[in-house]
Amino acid sequence: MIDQYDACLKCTICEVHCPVLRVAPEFPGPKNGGPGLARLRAAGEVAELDHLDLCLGCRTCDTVCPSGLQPSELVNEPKVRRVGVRGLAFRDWVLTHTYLVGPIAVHMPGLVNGVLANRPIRWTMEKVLGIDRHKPMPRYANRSFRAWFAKHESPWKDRPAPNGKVAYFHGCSTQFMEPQIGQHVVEVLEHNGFEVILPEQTCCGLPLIANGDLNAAAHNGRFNLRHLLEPAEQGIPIVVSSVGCSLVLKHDYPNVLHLDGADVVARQVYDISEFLLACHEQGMLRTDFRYMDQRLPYHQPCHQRAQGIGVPAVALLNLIPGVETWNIDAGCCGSAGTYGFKKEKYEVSMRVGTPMRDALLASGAPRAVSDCETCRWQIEYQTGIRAIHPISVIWEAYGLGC
Amino acid sequence: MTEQMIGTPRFRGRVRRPQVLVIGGGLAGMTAALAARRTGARVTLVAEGAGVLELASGCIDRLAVPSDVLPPEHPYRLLGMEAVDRELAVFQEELSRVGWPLSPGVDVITALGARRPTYLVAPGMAAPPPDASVRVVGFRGLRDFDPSVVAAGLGNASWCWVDLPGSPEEIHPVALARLLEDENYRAEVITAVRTALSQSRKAAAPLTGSVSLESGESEFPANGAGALEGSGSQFRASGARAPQKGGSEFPTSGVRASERGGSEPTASGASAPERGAPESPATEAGAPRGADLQPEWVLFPAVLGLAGASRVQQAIAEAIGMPVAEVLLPPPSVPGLRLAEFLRRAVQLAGVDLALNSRAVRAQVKDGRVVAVVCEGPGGRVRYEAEAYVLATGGLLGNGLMADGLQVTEPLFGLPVTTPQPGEPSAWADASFLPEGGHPFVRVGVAVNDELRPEGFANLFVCGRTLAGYDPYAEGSGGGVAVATGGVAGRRAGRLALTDGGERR
Repeated sequence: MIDQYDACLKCTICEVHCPVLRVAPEFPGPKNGGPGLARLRAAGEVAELDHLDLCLGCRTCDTVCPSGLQPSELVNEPKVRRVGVRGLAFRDWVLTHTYLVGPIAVHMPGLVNGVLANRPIRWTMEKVLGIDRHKPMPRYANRSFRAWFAKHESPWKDRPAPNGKVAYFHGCSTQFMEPQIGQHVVEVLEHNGFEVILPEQTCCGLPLIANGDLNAAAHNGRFNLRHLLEPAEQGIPIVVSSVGCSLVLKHDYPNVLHLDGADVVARQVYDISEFLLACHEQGMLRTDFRYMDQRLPYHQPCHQRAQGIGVPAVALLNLIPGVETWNIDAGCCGSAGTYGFKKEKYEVSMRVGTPMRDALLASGAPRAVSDCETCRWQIEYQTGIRAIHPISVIWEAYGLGC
Repeated sequence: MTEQMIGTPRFRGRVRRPQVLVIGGGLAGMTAALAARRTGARVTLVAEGAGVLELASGCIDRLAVPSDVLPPEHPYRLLGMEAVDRELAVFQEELSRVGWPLSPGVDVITALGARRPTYLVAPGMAAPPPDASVRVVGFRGLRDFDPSVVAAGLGNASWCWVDLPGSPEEIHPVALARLLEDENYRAEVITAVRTALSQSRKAAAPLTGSVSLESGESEFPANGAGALEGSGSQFRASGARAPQKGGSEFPTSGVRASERGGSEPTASGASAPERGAPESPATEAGAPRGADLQPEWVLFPAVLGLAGASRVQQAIAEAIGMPVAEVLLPPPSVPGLRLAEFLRRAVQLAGVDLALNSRAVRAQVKDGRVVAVVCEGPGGRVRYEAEAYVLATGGLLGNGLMADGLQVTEPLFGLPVTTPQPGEPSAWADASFLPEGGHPFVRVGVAVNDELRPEGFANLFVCGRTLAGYDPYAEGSGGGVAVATGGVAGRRAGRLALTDGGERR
């Protein structure tokens, strides 16, 4: 990573595609802030650039670079060094550790959601913490996903599942905020003859990586790998329903955090749509879908596109008779996890998301589809259109809700 | 019941089975994927990064030399000019379907004020007629665009600078293009432009000038200009030097007109005006009929909007009451970005599975058939098992060909590469920098038959810069070869996958 800047040809393709540079001209951009700055660092210069923190971490630059570089990692490096010396700022610590609040919040969701929606409290949070008051905080559910799973009865509890086992990494938002997505994943997999197992897990660490705290992220990573290694070594696929988590499990554990055993686990990790589409193309997916007359615009999350596995959700949903799904291809939503909640970044975040908002509103569809929770929250905030996970559409089409 | 419906329990991992796999996401690969998809085949396109479209002009060149001088191994000779023109017309049709109508047969203006002929021109970029009187507007803070240089190159133009709102010290062309899509920002810019234009009309205002008065101040003197030209990010000396060369290599407008007349496909030529709404602002807005009866054009740097460029151009033309045309900038190129975005939109709306950030690392070949191609990205190593494959990985610049000294290889399939005499460096390059017929090494590439298949492969088609036998720089053929070979390769791959693949399955 240190000397990859030498491969940069200064072709500017990353600048052309950078969603931040388009709306915040003060941002130095992936070329200057990435390989450009890295070259100075390598020469021993104390190289800093103002406004480099405006990077969303969307990894668009990695995706479009024709020379195979990862400018986003280089752009993140000054932040990683700073956090390594000084630690996370208090506000950033709070935003990256919401998963610690979850177990308590799901026991008193009314109170927590009420507090987080209270305008004077949000105003105070903005003044004191620097957490922007505009965007609604995600709402906690009244029961965690794992609590649902513990009471759930598998159709395969008395006999072996014909297609074997699948391990499910649900992530924080499914566990505490959107447990129905986890339910849909489990029921769709069971419908297709898989037995679902639920390894112990904690936050994948993506918010920590994005905020520069690689040590804390590695701590979470080691915990997860400890529990995922066993199924991975048995060749059990590990499906993930949040594309941010799957990108971290597949790419960041081995290549950014350099964790032991990460390679073995990464090979077994699948995004849920990727897994189901591969099943279909290998003749393993049930297609007893009901007819659903729906146009469903799909917003491709940056962390899905960055994976290099195509757009499986679109092909998958188009298997349903009557459904028309297409990738609106309008760039980053601007939310980028914790980014859109930061006071100094809220405006940029909203400007980045404008093309996505316009494209979705122009589609005239009542529902939109995306497989990243922060993208869905941003869609609902910016457009008022209901945003759902592709697995929920599949679940509906199988008639599993009836 | 569940057991009955499910196949044998053996999940094979990250194995995908499209019918056609296109490798490479540049102009050729995108065109190929689109053509393959139109046959009805299921298509996946894998690309390691973006192509060079974002660095190019957003216009498509076809051929700037007579077609009968092309060597027999030239891709155009393999396909025949009729097929080439058919593919270009299909390409034009595909783009106008997604709202980006290219129009045939005009010049564009370069950042050095040279007229550059091209075959399909993007909305708002068609140059004014040679006898039109022209004003050039520059935006302060926008790098690499000096209106005085453009005016000097054109020879009959006046120019002025306009201050952008907030007077930024420096502004990125893509950022400015996006800002101009904002109505409020645009209104401020339009006001500033109108003020500057009216001042320049009164002449000799401090912010403006004309060539005869101030060309000496411009950074690049007109007689030493080298123009950026390019459908393939190629650079060529041009501009004011062209007359000295007698127009042989760089067709002047006269040469262009006669050659175009002979080669223009009537279909696209006739249909363009009907669907040409977005370029009409330039012609419909009309000129004010004041004291001066000659229509006056205003040239801007090519930053007037991104995907909404047509709307932005029209709004500006209406507001200033004069036809507007855009001038090409050095990379990063906003017109190139527009074309890339509309092409990507066309490909995705057609239903192609677009896998960006995925690098083809290994191919498996058995008995003259490609069985699988393995691709790698941050999301894992995917094995694609398709019926037909299209190779569109580019040339030496795009890493579709790799050079180690005079050893040139095609790294994915190990296809034989046609090169000049091995071991004889002098046969690879001409002694002069810009030789009449181009440098021989530029023609290095993979040889194919007239179906665009390399020898010994039943289900592999090659297109674009990977191909041998052509020189996009000397011939002005880069975009045309990519589109024509991409279209033919994609369609053949799609048909083969549907017939041959269907039987094998």
